[in-house]
Amino acid sequence: MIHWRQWGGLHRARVGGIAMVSAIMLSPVLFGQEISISAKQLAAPPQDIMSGRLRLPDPAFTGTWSEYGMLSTVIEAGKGSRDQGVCQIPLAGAADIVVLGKELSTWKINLIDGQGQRHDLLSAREAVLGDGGPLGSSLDALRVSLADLVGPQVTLDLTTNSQQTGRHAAVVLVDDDVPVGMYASLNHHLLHVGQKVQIDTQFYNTQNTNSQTVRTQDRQRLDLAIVESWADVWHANGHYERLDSVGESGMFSLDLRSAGDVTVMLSVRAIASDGRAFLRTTTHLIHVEEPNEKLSGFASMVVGSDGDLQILIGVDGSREKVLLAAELWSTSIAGEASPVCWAGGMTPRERGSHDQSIRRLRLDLAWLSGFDGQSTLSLKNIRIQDPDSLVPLDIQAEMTLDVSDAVWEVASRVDAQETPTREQLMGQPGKVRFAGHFSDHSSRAVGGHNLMLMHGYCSDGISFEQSDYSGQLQIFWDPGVNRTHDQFAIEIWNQGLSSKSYGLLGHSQGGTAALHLYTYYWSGVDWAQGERLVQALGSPFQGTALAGAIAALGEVFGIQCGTNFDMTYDGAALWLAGIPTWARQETYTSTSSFVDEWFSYDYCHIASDLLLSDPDDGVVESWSGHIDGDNNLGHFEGWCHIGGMVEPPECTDPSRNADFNASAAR
Amino acid sequence: MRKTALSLALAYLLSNSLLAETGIDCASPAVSIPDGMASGVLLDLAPVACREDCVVTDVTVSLVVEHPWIGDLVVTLQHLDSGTSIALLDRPGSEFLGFPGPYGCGGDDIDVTLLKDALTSAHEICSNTEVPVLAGQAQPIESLEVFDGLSAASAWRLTVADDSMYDEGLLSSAWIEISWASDCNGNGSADDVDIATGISVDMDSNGIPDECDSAECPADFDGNGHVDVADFSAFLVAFGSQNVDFDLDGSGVVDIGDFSILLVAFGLSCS
Repeated sequence: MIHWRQWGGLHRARVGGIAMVSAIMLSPVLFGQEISISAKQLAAPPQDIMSGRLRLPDPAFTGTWSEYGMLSTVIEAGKGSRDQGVCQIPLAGAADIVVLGKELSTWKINLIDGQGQRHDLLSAREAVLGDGGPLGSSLDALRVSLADLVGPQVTLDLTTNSQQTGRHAAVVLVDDDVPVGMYASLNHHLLHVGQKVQIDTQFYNTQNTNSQTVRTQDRQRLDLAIVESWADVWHANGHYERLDSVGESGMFSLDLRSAGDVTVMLSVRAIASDGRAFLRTTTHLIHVEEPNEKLSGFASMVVGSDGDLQILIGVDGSREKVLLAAELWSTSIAGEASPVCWAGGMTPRERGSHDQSIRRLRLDLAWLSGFDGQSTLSLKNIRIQDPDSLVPLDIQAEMTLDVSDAVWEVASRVDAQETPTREQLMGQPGKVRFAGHFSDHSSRAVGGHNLMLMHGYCSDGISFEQSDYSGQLQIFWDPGVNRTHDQFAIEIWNQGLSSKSYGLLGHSQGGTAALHLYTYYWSGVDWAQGERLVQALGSPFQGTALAGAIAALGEVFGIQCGTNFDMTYDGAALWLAGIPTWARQETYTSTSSFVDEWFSYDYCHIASDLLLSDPDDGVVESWSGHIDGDNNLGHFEGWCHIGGMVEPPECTDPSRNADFNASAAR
Repeated sequence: MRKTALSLALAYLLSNSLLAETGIDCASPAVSIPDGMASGVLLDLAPVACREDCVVTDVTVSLVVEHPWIGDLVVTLQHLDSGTSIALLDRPGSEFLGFPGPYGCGGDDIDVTLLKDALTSAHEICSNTEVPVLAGQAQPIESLEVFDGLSAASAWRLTVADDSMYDEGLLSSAWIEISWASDCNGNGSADDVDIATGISVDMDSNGIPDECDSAECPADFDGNGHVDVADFSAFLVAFGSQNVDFDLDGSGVVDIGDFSILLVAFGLSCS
């Protein structure tokens, strides 16, 4: 493991005794200045290439699985219409049923089984009524566990209070005991307007496939009879359509019509091998980009005026900022190819010497130490991605590299390094800049070396229990907002301008955004000293099924906090493909879940539990809260993601808070 | 502590033709720089021991500072007679907006010599791996040339302040080197420069512009209008000392060079 701060040998004599930064003083330094954010010039050694860690993911392995069915109904009450909605559900045996809607306690919710027997769910002995929690705090959630239901189909009869008029919606989640799960994945990630994307569904046996194997080739595919399949699609331009699958294959072909977020609720009704009918539903959030940024096919390597190696890549397009990445390979006279390094980073658009549009990757000369001009250099797996959605805008498998003589001249004079230096991996500050921005959310303090405590997506602003922390703190404050990881990271940077240096402790998306900031931008985090630069609790590094579900529920109930592609399984995988090992090594992750008793059915949240694989904290599955190459601080039972769940919120765990506090860099 | 530092100050003169250098060095113990106080540490340098007509030709400042966040520091140098003051360092690193950020360079320690013709500005140097972060030679943020031509026979003041809280440090050493030369005609330019550039003529090759030779009797120490035995007697008493009144060639020492000038002038009457 690399400890940067040992290399620097910084030895601060900081002033102690200041418990917390709470000043509301505005720093005069900050007023009236155009502050620009400086991007890092990322590089990574060949190991990161060979491990595949920095390659775009195979969409076949970033799909979504489901062991539940989801149905929605809309009731137009009053005005002479019936105030009743009916859902037909293929179901027999035991099941957990969750109904989501508004003011459910005033409704009549009855289930009629295959023999006509009526069950009043609201008054059922096992009924639990709570709020929608992470699926929508303005919603009610009713959960009922039923056994020995007679099928093959049941009817859910939903009747609103006669006093209520207007449009009412309800969503029903059904988790039966048929041991079949459905896995649905996209066939590519070039999600561009005008393209088609295919969603492929497969079935697997839930008794021998768990959340760790469902996304791998170990997944055992079941061939079952599909009775009916359909997909509800809400396009970014507001247009809705219902798609049928191609034949009875469970495969859907979707036209990407407009840029933005597309929500897909994909349902398949099938017959299990024991003859029972069942329903499986996956929800997908797909981000579609305009295909207006293209690799133009030329690349050259020169020595810049500042002495850096620069790879100039032709890119036709006008976006202010894109993520550009490529692998640098060498080929010997004998024809043996070997990776030199990976290079990437946020890049601005520039004009080249012949007025062509280019983007520039910068590399430390040390990467070419030992090369004598006898080898040839080339680029592989070149890609440009949108900085927010991380959707690839263009990719190219290989490009020849026109290398100037000056490159070989300077390379021959560079000393080889045993291990890459910090400058090799991150570049130097100030060379690549983008316009910053100010928000007035931050309580600005003057200076200080702080631990920044950060809440997550669409939070009420409350996260970590501040009384558990004794050192200097800065509280990130950006409640009720939905941001991409990049936007979130820039907001952290923005608020961090009130600290001289800071370490990061992020809850939920705050953790992923913290890693994004440390990876892509220079900030006060790079001045922080202490053991842990980035700490994350309950962060969906590999995505969460709730991102798609929240999008689908938003279509049914109306937009709440908004959709976030970065937190989908697909989006998270695209994002992780840009996070080098050196950044992961500075990241410390912790996850939580309910106490799993052998004798009971346990969960964190009555509704989100159906969408997630155990163990989970009600929002994030344990496997998703950690990543390869990080420092895994462990998984802790007895805590859930936020308040209002079965266990107390994980941010109030005094033991972990003490550890976070003691080990944080500041 | 501040007075201690001053009491340890050493001043000396280096004899070198008409040019001379002087410096102040506070070496030990190190002086604590008050954290977050613009007033800072003041170091006063006594007037340079040169004739009233000497002018500054160059200034160099060397600093050794132990500080965990050099972007806190503001260092100024003031020529007290004229009040001319420049910032040598002003929260270095602040120009790199976005990084290090508005608090200047967060690197550790300074061991730098600030001079006019360095290749890099002290404000363009910042690293979070190099210690000391500001090392070698660098240009100050404001040019030292503003002091050229000012009277060297002035006291100087160096101020080292920490303008931002949360990090504190020590001033280990400060060295100010002032090069000066005679400016007998008071035109703000050193005599040797005047002669070399043809502004002045030096027919007798005594290193003094002729207009100065004719304007005064440099060896008429008692001011009676004649260079006579009384002046010679007074010169013998001063011989070997650093008495600037008898240091006719401005070498810093009353020596044989001054005696030669006295011999040339002996017996002259001055009008």
